[in-house]
Amino acid sequence: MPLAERVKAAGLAAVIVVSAIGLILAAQALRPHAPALESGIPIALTIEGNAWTIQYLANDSRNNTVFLFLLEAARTLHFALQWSNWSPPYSAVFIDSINGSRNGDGGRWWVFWVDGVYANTAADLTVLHGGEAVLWRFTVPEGG
Amino acid sequence: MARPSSGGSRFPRGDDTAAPRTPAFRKLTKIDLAFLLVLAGVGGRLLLLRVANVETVLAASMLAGAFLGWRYALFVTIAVMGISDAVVYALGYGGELGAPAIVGITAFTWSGMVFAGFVGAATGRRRVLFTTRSMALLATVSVPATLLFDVWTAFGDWLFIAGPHGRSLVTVYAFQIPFTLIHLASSLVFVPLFGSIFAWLSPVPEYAPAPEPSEGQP
Repeated sequence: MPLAERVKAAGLAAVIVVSAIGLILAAQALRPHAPALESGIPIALTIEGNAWTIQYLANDSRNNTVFLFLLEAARTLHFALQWSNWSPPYSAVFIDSINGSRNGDGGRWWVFWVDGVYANTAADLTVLHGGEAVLWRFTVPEGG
Repeated sequence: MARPSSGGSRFPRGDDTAAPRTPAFRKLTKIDLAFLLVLAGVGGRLLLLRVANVETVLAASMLAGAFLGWRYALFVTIAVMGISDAVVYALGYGGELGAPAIVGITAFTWSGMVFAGFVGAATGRRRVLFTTRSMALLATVSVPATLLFDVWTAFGDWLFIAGPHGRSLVTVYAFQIPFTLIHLASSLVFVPLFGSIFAWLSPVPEYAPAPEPSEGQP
């Protein structure tokens, strides 16, 4: 390969690497960020399993994402919680099992709503501002 | 006179003098390349399964179109998506969506990748070579191909998943933006990377312009 072509190839590679890094940084900037709270916020949590229900209410929680608040409930009420992490650059948490009920058991899966609105984002990317009611339900997918 | 290839590659025409290249220049056949593209697409998708929107399928589809033509773009896309989707769903991913949503999303993702393959085929109408210029062209074209795919599949997401749960199309597109940025980064890396490898491996034209005779020689 001639030297001029090598220089052009190196230049293209540099442009691609810089562009890719810029795009990933821009994506990170657009990622929802939970602010650090100076005081606690009230949040209500209901978890509806196959034949059981867990309810948890906190008046001054500083765990202001759906995932962190679920983790707080699990630690306070001593129920099992399992999750898996999606890798960077857009890492996110995926809940696998709550209180022994695992995704796929009996064709049921864990999904959640915040104030009755179905979540479109991962639990750790859903920010809570206080006063919300979070519902986790182990349910058969309705196909939409 | 060179025959037009099925892959849309354009050989020199008109008064170009043609001379055969030696068989040694023909490194791999189109079928070989298609198989390797399927391998790269499936392998990359499965290896990167837990990395959101970083994938090799779009690169495989686009490059199949660019190097081999639209028929191979169709074949490679369907093979990659068919094989990898079967594995992905067998592993339990997407189970929370339910069968009707999965079928709907599948229609959008497969057709979106076919669009990318056709974009590649349109690019490949001017022959893609093992040159920086060709790789820059492929990388550039991967941007609208990726945007087209993401706009199309986000619409499918809204139609089959988010919409029935009360989300507006605008909200879905807003949520899509960071994922699209990462997808663009993925395409910008994988398309020229795989493109360089496949350009080097790709079959050369059976006929190419003969070298100009040197002055002073008989």
